[in-house]
This record gives sequence, structure tokens and C-alpha cells, in this order.
Amino acid sequence: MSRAALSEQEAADRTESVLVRARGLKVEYPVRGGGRKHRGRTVSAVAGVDLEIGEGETVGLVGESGCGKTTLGRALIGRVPLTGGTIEFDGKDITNASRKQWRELNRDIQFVFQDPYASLNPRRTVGQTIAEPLQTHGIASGKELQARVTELLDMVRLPQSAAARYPYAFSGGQRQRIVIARALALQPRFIVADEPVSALDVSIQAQVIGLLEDLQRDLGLSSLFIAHNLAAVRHIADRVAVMYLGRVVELATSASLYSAPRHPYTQALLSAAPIPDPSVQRPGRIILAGDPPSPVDPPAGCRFHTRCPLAVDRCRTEVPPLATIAEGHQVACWVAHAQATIPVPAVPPKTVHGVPA
Amino acid sequence: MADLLLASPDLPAAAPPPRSRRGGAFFRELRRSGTALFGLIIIVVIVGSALFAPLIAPHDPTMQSLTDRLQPPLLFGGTAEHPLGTDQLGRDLLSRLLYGARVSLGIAASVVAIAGCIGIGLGLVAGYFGKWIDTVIMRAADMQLAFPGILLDVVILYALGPSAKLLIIVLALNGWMIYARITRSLVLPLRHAEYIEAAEIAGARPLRVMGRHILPNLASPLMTLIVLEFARIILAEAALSFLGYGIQPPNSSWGLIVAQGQDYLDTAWWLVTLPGAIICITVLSTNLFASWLRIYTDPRQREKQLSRQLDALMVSKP
Repeated sequence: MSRAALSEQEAADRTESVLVRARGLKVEYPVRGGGRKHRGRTVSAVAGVDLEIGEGETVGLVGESGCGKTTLGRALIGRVPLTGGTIEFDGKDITNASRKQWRELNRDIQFVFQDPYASLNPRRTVGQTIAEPLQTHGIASGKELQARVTELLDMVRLPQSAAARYPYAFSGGQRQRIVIARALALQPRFIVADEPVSALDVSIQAQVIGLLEDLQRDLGLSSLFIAHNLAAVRHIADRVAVMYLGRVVELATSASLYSAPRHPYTQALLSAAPIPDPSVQRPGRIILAGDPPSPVDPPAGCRFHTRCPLAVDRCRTEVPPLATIAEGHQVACWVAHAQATIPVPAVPPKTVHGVPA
Repeated sequence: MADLLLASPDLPAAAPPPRSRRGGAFFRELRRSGTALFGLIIIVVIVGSALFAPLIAPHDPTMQSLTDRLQPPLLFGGTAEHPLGTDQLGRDLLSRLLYGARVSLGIAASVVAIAGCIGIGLGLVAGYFGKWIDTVIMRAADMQLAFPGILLDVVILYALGPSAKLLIIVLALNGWMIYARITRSLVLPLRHAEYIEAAEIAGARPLRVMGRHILPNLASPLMTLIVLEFARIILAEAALSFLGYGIQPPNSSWGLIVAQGQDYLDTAWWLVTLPGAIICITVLSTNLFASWLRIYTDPRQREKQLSRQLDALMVSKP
């Protein structure tokens, strides 16, 4: 039943029909202010990310605050100017789509915001909010529109009477369901959900995740589910990508990632999750020292080496590529590559700081 | 599991229609605030008497009667024939004030409508689109703000010859900047609000985003600004008419009545004092009402009101 329990084979089949394909995605912002020291420098929020999302597949994207996961999600819906890389949707290159083209693309690609308190217009009724995409795209009007709104409310398990009310009358969980109903109105094929439950009470998180899970299964949606903790995506994601300082460091099927994390950062994240059972003997907890380095001045080589307990010399100079080390399991770590069960293809040596590595 | 959790949505089955709730609460809240209620009543009385001036006015405001000239008001030795006395030409002051109200309020309303539409429209465009459009509109506003307003009005009215129509145009052209600047400053924090972005992702075009999503959220501060500007325009019109560049005789406006009475200040104080008091009371009432309106229409204030209603509900149904 659980999506995490999908066989490796099934997961592999899904990825054969890729819906969204990002290659070498880069987003950099110029540093504003900051005096002479930072003049002309950039913050690299997303530093070369490759990501593929299959038809009907849910990919979880996990990382700590400021690692670039939200920026990556926003880049996929055309809300952030890219400084490099390409995005393909359903085989079409949408990297340089104009605002007008994005208006059409938003029929297929929708977004669920993090904060359901900020993403609903307080002056519009729930019905008006949900009807808006249908109206602006000229899909339905009059009686038909009413029927569609009722249908959408039903889909997110809200009563028909909700349509006439304003957002302030609803709780956080209900609001997030309204946001989801709006995102589903155009029957999109791909949804980016930016931490859709992190603003909600823990008791409500389960129902919203459960709802999203059901909807994705019933509608065959693909989605990118962004979260800041691994537990939140465990049950909903087919595959999970772990991001650190603008790069994907590990990408694997849920089953593989949770049972055998290979990147030391993923291992640290997993060990930090509390286990709500006092009888379970906790394995040794890995505590990372210090804060993530500044994305204005990222470390050379592997960006994690400053906090990595396993770092070797190579990590300080060479950037580890995201390479397959086992079936359905990719990791960007020199140490993990060395321990890989299947040989990691040799990469052409890169030069770092002008010195051949 | 999810179904179980969702089985009892904590919504009352019948939602009261929001319009009537707001209408009812408006007057309930208004009654609680004495000054605002006072302000609104005065405004309604003045606007009402201006509208029905032909029915209320005891005399033709232009009818001269030199035998009755400079009669004091009723309580100061005058007669019931002229309750507020007469002017130097024997015209009934009450009738002149009533007809003058039509001109003063009419001009203020027209100016606010024209300047408001121009200013709010430009402010929305500047704030929403930003970049060079914003720069062009805002620098134009700055340039115009650099001129002393009343001087510019006087120069234009003097050059082109004063008339009510020109007075409205001149005051409107001189008044749009404040709407534009305030609207723009209100749009900026909303520009990147998630619900505005959500509307764009939902496919709303710029005009729809500005009209349906941004503007309604600016309604309360702009309403307050409009009411305050209304008061300011009444004063500006009075000042220009007083200086002789506004309304011309035989028409009358409050400012003009003050101007015409100033020569008789030592013999007939009522000619200046009464229209002056009317201007003062109108502006004061408008400001009192505006400051209450600002608080009432603040969504945060409304939320407090909602929680009060909920508390009351909890008490009545233990």
C-alpha cells in the first residue's frame, strides 16, 4: 500500500517516461549591499542540479533552510530567472518560456505554497479563489463553474457551503486544502509543493499529506514535494533528493535512501530525526558541527567537506559528481563512491583553482 | 486514517452571508464610537441639506433686498424671516449657505473622483509593474509635488479665467500625486505577497490581478485617504474662492461667502463666522469619520471583532 514499498523495478519503469527534466540548473543572485567585500559577487542558490521526474512520480526534495530547495522548486514553475541549465517539460524545452507562455504552461504545472495563511486572498471567498483558474483560462462559467467548484471542494473534502465563506473562517489545514483545490482546478500534470505542511500543526500534517497522497494516486499526478525533514516525505515520495548548499548530494528511491543512506549528510539528517518509541535503541547520533557555509563563498570541492566527519583530501579539491552506486541510488560523495557495490564510472579529472586534481 | 480525521470538518453547516454581517456590524461598531457617529450624522445632514437646498432654503439665494441688508441672525436680534441674517445686499445667508454647500461639496466630490481615479490607477500601475514605468510615473509625481500647489492653481486660473469647471480640473491635476504615491506604497508590499503570486499562477492577467486582487485589499486605507482629501479640497476650494480665483458671483460657495463678508467683519460678524464655522464643522466631521473608518476597515481590527463574536458565542452556549 505504501508508496515507499514500490519495487525498484516499478520505480525504474516510471522514470522511463520522464515528464520534467532539469539539467545543470543554476540560479545565482547578485549580492546587494554588503560593502566592498561582496561587490559583484553572487549567491549561488542552486549550483548545477540535475533532476528528472517521471510521469506519475513523486520526488521528495529535502534539505535544511537556505539550501536552495525552494529556489529550485520556484525555478521549475518559471518564477525564478535561471543563470544556467535547461528545463524540459513533456519533451519541450521550457527554459526560456516567456510570461505569456508560462500562463499556458501553468495549466499543466501548478504550485502549492508553504503558508496557507499568506497564499489565500483575504478579500476573496473560497469559491472565487478556486474558480479563478477556471475563469481566467476560459474553461468554465456559470452553472458549470459552480459545479466544478463544488467538485473540487469535494475532492479536498470540504463541504459545498465553504465556497461562500472567506479564508479567515478556516483553520490552517482547511486553508491548505483550499490551496490544493485551486492548484488542481486546471487538472495539472505536475505540481510543485513547497513545504505544504510545514506551516501546519503536527496533528494536521498527517491529514494533508494523506490527502495529497490520495489525490496524486487518483489523478496520476507527478510532483515535487519539498520538505525540510526527511520524515515528512517518507511516505509520499517515490524517490528522494537530498540537497545541501545548492547541490543534490543524494538521490535514491525512498526504500533505498531510508534503509541505507550513503551520503554522510543524509546519514546525519536521518540520525537527527526523533524516534517516537523509547524502547528503540537509537543508533549513535551524528551531530554536525557548525553552520552551513555561506553560499556567497561556498567551499571548494565537495561543499559538505567543512562539516563532514569522513572528509578526505580529495573532497577539499574535487567536486564529487552525482553517480550511481547501486540500483536506483545516486550519491555525490567520494567516500561513498569508493565503497560502491557497482563501479562508479570514472569522470574526467577536473581542475580546481587551476591545479589539476 | 485520513478519512477519520477529516470526517468532522469543524464548519457550521450554514454560513451567514458575509455582506449582511458587515453591514450590521458597521452600524453596531459605529454606534460605539461617539465621535465617528457625530461626524457621520453631520456629514449626512450637510450633504442632505445641500441636495435638498431648493426645498429647504427659505429664499432665493441671489434675491437682493437692500432694505433688509445686514440683518443679524435670529438669536442676535434678527427675525425668523432670515434665521441666519442677511448680507450687505440683503440676501438670505441661510439660503446662500445651502446653495453654497452644493457648489463646495460638488466641487470637492468631483475633484476627489477625478484625482482619485487618475492617482490610484497610476499608483497601481507603478507599483505592480515597477521598473521604468514606476520611475516615469513617480518622477512625474515628484516634479509636480515640487511646485507649490496653490500658487500653480492661482496662476492657471488667472491665466485661463476662473470657472467652476477649470477649478475642478486644476484641483484634480494638483491632487492626483498623493493618491499615486500612497497607492504605490500600499501595492509594493503586496506585490510579492503569496496570494498575488498565486493569482498569477492561476492565470490572472495584470489587469485582473490589479483590479480584483490588489485593489480590494487597498480599499480601506484608500477610503480613508479619499475622505481626508475630500476635506482638504473643501478647504482648497474655499481658499481659491476667497482669493477670487474660484467660484465667481453670482454663484456662491462657502469660501466666496467668507470673502464677500470680510469687509463687514466689524459690523456684521456673521457673514464671515457662519460660513467659516460650516467649513470647519464639515472638515472636522469628515476627519473624525475618516479616522474611525481607518480603524474599522483594518483587517486586523476585524479579526479582533470576529474573536469577540466567537467569545460571545461560547458564553451563550456553554
